[in-house]
Amino acid sequence: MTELEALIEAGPDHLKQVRQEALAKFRAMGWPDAHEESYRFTRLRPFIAEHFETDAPEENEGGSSVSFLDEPITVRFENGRVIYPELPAGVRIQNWTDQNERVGHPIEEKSPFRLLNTALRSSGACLQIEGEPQLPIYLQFSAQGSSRATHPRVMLRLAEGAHAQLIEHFVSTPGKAFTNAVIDIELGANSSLQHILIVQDGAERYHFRDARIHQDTASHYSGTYFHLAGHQARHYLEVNLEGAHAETELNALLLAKGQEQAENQFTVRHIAPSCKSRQQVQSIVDESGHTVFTGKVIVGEDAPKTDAGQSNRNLLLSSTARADAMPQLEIYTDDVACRHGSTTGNLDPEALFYLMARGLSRQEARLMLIAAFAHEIAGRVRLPQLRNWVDDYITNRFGGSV
Amino acid sequence: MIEIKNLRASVQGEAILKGLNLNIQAGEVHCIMGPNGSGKSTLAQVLAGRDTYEITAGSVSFKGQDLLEMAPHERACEGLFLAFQYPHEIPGVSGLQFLRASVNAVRKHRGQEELDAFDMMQQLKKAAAEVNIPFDELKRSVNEGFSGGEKKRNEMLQMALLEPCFVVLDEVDSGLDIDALKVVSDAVNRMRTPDRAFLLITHYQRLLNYIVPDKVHVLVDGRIAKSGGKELALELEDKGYAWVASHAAAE
Ligand SMILES: Nc1ncnc2c1ncn2[C@@H]1O[C@H](COP(=O)(O)OP(=O)(O)O)[C@@H](O)[C@H]1O
Ligand SMILES: [Mg+2]
Repeated sequence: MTELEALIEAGPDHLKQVRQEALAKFRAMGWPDAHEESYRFTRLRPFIAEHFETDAPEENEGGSSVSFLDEPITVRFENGRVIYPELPAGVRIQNWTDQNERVGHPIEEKSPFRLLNTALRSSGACLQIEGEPQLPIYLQFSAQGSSRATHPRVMLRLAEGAHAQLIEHFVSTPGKAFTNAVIDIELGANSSLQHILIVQDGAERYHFRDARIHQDTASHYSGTYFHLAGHQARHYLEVNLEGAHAETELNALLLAKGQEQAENQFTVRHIAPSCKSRQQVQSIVDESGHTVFTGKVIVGEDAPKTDAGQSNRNLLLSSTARADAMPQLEIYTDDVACRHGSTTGNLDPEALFYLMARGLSRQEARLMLIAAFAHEIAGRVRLPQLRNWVDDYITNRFGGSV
Repeated sequence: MIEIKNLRASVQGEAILKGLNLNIQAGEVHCIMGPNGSGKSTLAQVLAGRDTYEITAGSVSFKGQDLLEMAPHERACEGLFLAFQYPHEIPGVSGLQFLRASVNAVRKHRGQEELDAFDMMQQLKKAAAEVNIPFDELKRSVNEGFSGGEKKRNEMLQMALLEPCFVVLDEVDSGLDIDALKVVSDAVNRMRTPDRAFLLITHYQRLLNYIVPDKVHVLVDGRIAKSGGKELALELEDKGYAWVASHAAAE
């Protein structure tokens, strides 16, 4: 028995079988091949060559306090444990060990990362929300240490007519490590979720993420994602618009500097009629950073009156910076409106000169234009403190570069 | 104030300014007129420090300093102000943010204290009112979606706030109706003091009815072809630029 099997053996009985199956399937399947289309740009080889220990749940000191929210409902995931306060009415949390549904059917699963998470998940929670909790729910994932893998897993379910705000914040210490997160979200009819994701990883961290969203009739999802730092990140997201008149809005800002690589793989499936989707993905790339955006929109045969839009803008700050964009459109019905646009370029030299002609140094002028570009995404966050926190983060991250 | 000697500048290897001489004293208003493409905007941009133009010969002394050695923002901080012929739009940067940053950058350079939020607001409100810009307009992105007239008034607002000592106005009158022209020329006339100098660049004599210059120069093919008093502008209006060009060729 290997250490991974031993880990599963030591876990809860009712999950053993599904975890063992997932591990077996992962082993049979192996890591993705660099030739696979969807991993075309992902730097897999160096990642696969690394060795990580999977953590068993253990005690840990308290996480950092949050500076961008007043008093959220804070749920902390720390190297394997889940810690949360007394909850307001309408919010329920179960530890993953108590939850035995929706762990995914390993038999049908095609993503090796999700399979690995199912087999080895180190911490997780299932959140159920009814009504309209007044405070945002803040999930803090703080991972420390080197050569470790964490496999956090979250299931969020909004009941019919519920309204909530969810903030996920991944913050980690420098060492070489691997985060393999999975989140599943189900939005009941007429519910709405504002979801913010902040990834602020240490300089050597690999971050893989698999998020899947299912939306029922007239539900509304708004996701704003900030990938701020980390050695390598790949964010896979799929949104399934399953009920008529559902709407989804995806906003993302990716930063990549040094040798960092950040990748967004978004798929929006219009399954039901009269749904609307918008994607706005922007990246700021400096030094030898690399960002990738694959935005796929699939309009099924039962989805007439689909309204889909996608826009991608990349700001390259150095001659070695790189951004790849691949919009993909598959349409199987008539009567749809789909738009997409993509631009990649440097800072506008005319704008730089205009600012300098008014007394700003080149550095100040650059920073002002970079901040304005980032604010197009940050400005969509409705929590003012969080919005300002992101603005300040951008200013600090690019303040040092000329 | 400013002394330009034998200035030659080219873009992409093509000579545009071909030995330009000009001397402007504090307290004076000079006007450069000239046909399209004669190099008027090139001169303005070169003075402000635009790096698309290559200086191939000559010198420019500004308040006794070597202007051509200074970075664009140093020129601005030292008191050179260019009102652009085509003010650029800057999406995402609000007028307020832009004005605050620029006023404080210039103040800092001049050894003045940065203005606090309250004093800044008072100044911006007063200056905006003087050029007929509703204060709320300043919350919009810089020049974005502004009409030609609004952009020019916005340039005048910046000029008033930055208190420069040498102002270059590049076709500040183009595309303005009479009311806007009045606002713009009032803004300039308010700034006229014995310690400031102005260089008006224009294609039309009309502006000079509102801002009366001390000297008029005619720029033809990258050189000053003729200089005179304000009556030269009227003569030009009468006889056209071809008259000066042939006159210059004959010399
Ligand atoms: N950035 C540039 N690139 C290429 N050509 C330019 C550029 N700027 C000016 N020119 C050329 O230089 C000449 C003078 O232009 P300009 O200074 O704008 O004239 P004016 O303002 O007197 O109309 C024109 O022939 C113009 O095409
Ligand atoms: Mg011009």
